[in-house]
Amino acid sequence: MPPALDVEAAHPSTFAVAENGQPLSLGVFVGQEIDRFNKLLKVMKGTLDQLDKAIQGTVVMSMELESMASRFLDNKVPAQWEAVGYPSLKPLSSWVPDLIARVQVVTKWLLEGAPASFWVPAFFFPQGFMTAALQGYARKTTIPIDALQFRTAVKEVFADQVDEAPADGVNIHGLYLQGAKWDFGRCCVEDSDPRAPIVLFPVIWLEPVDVGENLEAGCYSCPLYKTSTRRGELSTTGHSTNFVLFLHLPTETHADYWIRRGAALLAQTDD
Amino acid sequence: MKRTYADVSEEDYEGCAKPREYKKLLFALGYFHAAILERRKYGAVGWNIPYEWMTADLETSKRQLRMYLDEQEVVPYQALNYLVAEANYGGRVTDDKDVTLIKAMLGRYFTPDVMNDNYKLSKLETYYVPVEGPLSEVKAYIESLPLDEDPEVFGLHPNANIAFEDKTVSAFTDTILTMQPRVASVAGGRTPDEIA
Repeated sequence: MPPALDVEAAHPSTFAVAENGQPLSLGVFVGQEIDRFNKLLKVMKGTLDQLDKAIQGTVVMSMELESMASRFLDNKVPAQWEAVGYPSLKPLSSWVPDLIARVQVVTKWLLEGAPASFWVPAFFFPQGFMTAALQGYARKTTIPIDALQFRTAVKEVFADQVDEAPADGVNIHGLYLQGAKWDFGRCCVEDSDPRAPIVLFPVIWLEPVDVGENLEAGCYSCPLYKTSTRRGELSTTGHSTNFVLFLHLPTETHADYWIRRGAALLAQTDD
Repeated sequence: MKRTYADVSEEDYEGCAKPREYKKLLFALGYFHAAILERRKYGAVGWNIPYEWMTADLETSKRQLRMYLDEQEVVPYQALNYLVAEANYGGRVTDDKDVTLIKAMLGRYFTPDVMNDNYKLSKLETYYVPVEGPLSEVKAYIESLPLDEDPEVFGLHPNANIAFEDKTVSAFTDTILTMQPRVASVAGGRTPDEIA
């Protein structure tokens, strides 16, 4: 049986939660994210060590360890990791690079400060990110957070072309659009190209605006989900485990058309 | 679709006070029922949660449609939309995004436009509300519809078929995986094939 231990190379060196001079709410948020990542990495390291020992015969091969080993053989993420991980449908072979990328993004944020555009799929709890970003603006302008909402301004570029953070609100990227595509130039959602059901979505600037503003006119309120399962349970905090928020994308057709199309933004693909 | 008409009697079909509206809307209702059920096979693109709608939902909606048309002067589209999409069928829908969807679905079919002859129920030319006529004609029209549906019939993009095929294949490969032999063979031991 091949011990899949080379995944251990994925573990970055321990990173401490440090005060990084960011706006408070986003700083708190990244601190919480780091805690979650550390917990996951700790569990991964612990279980891999155990499995290694069990294979060598120095500890008893328990039910859990055996099921973990067979999950490796099936190219699936072990249940122990999923329990402390984020929702993901990726097989193990792409789950690991995805995890490394997430950790890198969060580490970079920690060491170098907030990026020009946030890779939202990196986070365990993107809902928290949205609230933190809105709260940052609310504190700056002393407008109550309840009186604010995000307007979706789609920048017609991808993340590598963005080098400046907006004065207000945040840039986010790395989302995928399923059931529709973005029409560059015309600046609206359009029907997908054949054989391309899921496409990468350009950078979005989430601009805080007054809650009274009607954002739905001429727009499709596109739900953003973490995974393509879309369904989620309501958690104790009142958030769905999968749904993040509605983003208002401009459309030239009636919004109902896109509702029937089942068009949605996803934070990650399944492969 | 066929099921919608299977237990519609000639007497009921012709007996409504507004025969034209009833026939048109009954067809639209049947189409709606078929479409929301079929959407389930496309996984999350179709519905966030696959609901178990039943013929009872259809029956209730059919009777209410008849009743409202018989009793009211004008066709109460708004009331019908509410009753069917949110009360009858919607009673099973628990996800708020699915509620929006079911309303959008029915809104496409229960609209005054349905009275235009040959109103298209989707982007495709094949699916329309036939001119009101005897029951047998409608049944013949339904029989003439293609066996293989384009996802477009249900308001989805043809790409949704990819999602459906993906789902089918992964269910299939998962089954194969569970049949995979799990016993590690020690040197000199027998392979699972030999044991079998």
